[in-house]
Amino acid sequence: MTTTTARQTPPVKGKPLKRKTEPICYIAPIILFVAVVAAWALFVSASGISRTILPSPFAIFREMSKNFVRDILPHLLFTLRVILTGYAVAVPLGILIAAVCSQYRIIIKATTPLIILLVVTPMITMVPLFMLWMGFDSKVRVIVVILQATPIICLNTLTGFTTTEGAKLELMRAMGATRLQTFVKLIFPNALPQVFTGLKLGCIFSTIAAMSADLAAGKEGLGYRIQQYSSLIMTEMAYGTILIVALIGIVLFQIVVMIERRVILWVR
Amino acid sequence: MNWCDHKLSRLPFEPPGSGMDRSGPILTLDKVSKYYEAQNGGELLAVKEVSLGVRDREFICILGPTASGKSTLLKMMGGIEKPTLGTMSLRGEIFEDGIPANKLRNFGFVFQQDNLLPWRTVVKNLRLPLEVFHSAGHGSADRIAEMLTLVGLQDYGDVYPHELSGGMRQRVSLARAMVHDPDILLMDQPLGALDAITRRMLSHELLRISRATRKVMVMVTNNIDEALLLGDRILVLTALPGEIAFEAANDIPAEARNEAIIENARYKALRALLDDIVHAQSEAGRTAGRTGGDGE
Ligand SMILES: Nc1ncnc2c1ncn2[C@@H]1O[C@H](COP(=O)(O)OP(=O)(O)OP(=O)(O)O)[C@@H](O)[C@H]1O
Ligand SMILES: [Mg+2]
Repeated sequence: MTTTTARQTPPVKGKPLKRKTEPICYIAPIILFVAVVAAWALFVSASGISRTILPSPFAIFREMSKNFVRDILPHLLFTLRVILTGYAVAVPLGILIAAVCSQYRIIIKATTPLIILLVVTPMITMVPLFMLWMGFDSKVRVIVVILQATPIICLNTLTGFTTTEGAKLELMRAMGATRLQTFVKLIFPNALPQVFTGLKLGCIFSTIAAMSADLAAGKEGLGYRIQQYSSLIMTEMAYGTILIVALIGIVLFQIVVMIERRVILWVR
Repeated sequence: MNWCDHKLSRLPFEPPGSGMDRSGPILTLDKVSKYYEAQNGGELLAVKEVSLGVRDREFICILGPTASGKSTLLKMMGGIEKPTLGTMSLRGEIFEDGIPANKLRNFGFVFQQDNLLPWRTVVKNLRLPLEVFHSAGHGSADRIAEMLTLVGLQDYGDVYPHELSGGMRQRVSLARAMVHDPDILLMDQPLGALDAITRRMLSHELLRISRATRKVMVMVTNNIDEALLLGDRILVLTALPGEIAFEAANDIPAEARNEAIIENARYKALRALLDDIVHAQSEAGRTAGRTGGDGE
């Protein structure tokens, strides 16, 4: 007599609602980019500023396309390897440390200030020390990246692990779930949005750290290249290389964003 | 007021336990009390010396003023909280320190908010208890489908919770609590978060489900109509600390419990009586709170 099972039309099976990105979202950054380049070029030619201070974007492009393969590419690959190796270690390490720390409130309380300290320490200041201990090779750079990226990944993940709703924990307790089950089935998936925030910041921190390590020492890497070009007053190449570094950061960031979109299908 | 007092003196309810006494209780609570740590460093007595025997196939409804320890009582029954004092027993097995984790397979718990995991589809939410109890083998897909059909959501298996209405989510939550086929279903204001119309609709559906599954059900509610529709036995708790203030069997016959129950004379009488008792408990709680200044 009741119509309790009255059917609403069910949504299409197996198709979670996709947040469609409007075309404007792709076009807008391109328009902004073009506008910035145009303004830049206009400013340079109108003000007659010296090319050693600010070269025109076209000059940068010209110099870069001339020298990229020979002078930049090997260093780009070198730096990229440092970033990716460091990041690949930092991600599991940061999550693992957060998982261990989150097991006891007292450990969270004890370690959080230390983690924040590591987040805000610019590892460039530590490079000379590392070199003192470990001599000089590319491992030092990877370690710098690991030390810079792990704490920020860890901090965000830890926040995620410690903000599980009480009622959800009660749900697991009502089933007599073990600690491990509670972690795997509740705490970790619940923390995924914060984990991804950590992973995105980790990309940026890794890139910055690799630059710091290059600048501090060595004869390889994009950071070293930037320094060299500046001292040779090859300003166009210096700017061009800086842009390449920025591009690395943007691409890594966007890759993580893409993965995030595939993983996090629910709306919170 | 007079009318009600008169009713009381004539014992309008069957005394509990009379009538069809089928067997010994499945779950018993013996003088169970719960203290919480209060913010001011002291202790807060939330549930005081509650003794209760839950019999097979029984539907118990618990009424009471707000913050009278109803949830706390239910959480102790469901092994979520340990009692501070008192013992509990499940099918004759006595536990001094609450229901242990390895016995929780016997229970299903429905929370006031649906408490679904937003990153799991409906089917995967129903899988959760099976995974935790290590029984997610073959046959579990059939079991899940069966439960979804029972609550009328067979077409919504692959949908995420945020795509469902509040009433649908609460049905999923109910299905999840039953998917591992527990003996006892504990429900903490399962319809509390719903609008009045959905709520009434779902209360009738709950009646249908309880008749179809014949599980033991214990439901906390703040709605007397729900209690009279569903409960074979109705308990009223006092204001904090929660004690059993009143307990009686609901003698409205099963045939009369349908959409037309509001026309039933017995229903009207019992409703007025319960209304009065619950009201009196709330009132008592409020005056106690006002005069007993040190209690907080
Ligand atoms: N985990 C806890 N820690 C400390 N105090 C608690 C805790 N849970 C409940 N309490 C307190 O115990 C008392 C009873 O709470 P409980 O949730 O059992 O009441 P309730 O009858 O379910 O109320 P409502 O009808 O509002 O749901 C309240 O005063 C509450 O503040
Ligand atoms: Mg409650």
